[in-house]
Amino acid sequence: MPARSSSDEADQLTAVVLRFAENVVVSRRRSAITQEDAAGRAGLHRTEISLLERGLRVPGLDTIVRVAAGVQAEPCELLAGMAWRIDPNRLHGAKPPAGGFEVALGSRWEEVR
Amino acid sequence: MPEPTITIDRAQRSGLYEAVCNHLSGLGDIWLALEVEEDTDRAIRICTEFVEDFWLLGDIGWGREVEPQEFGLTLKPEVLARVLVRLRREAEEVLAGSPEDREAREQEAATDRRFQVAASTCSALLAELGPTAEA
Repeated sequence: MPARSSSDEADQLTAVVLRFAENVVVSRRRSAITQEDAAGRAGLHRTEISLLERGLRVPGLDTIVRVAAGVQAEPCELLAGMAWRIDPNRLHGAKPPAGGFEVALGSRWEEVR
Repeated sequence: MPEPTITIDRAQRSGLYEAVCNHLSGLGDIWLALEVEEDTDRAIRICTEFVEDFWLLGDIGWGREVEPQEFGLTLKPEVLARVLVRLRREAEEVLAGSPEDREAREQEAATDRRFQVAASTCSALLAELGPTAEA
């Protein structure tokens, strides 16, 4: 397996942020809550909800929990579908885990393709 | 075609465009206000803001990438002022973050400062121990 570069990790971070953005949009629409109301419930500015939904903010843990409350979802729902492929170079010679290099952050567990 | 009220350059256009796009991500709020909340006043207020966004985009271009170096804003001065006040407020909100965010950032900065002291202390002590200490 080829070694993954830091740019690959940057791509992964982008994918994670975009997935979070999509999950927020889906959850908010499912709950039929406006951006304004979601922001009000979460104690954030509406602009912050906009940025998160556009994938232009990397949310902190507290923001994830607050936004989940704002859109009436569980925090884990906002993390659904995310995964992080572990760079084998970071395993320091240890054998890769059975099933691949990905660690699921949400409800979906994927193996490396 | 109305005469421009004011002219902006490409960089200023880029900033306004970003702020407008961020606002437009809430376009679906009109439907929610009308159909779900049945709050007509709110729907009209939200809709008015978006209409003004559209007018501004008509002046500065709808695409992210545009050719002109200058853009003439043709909105009526009172409308333009209203849009600019709103966009400035939203931009300032983004820059300021929430009070909790600021508090969290300050806590992280304080932690960083302690670790900077730790790192510099280790370096200073290793230097005192002599050149072979880090071998």
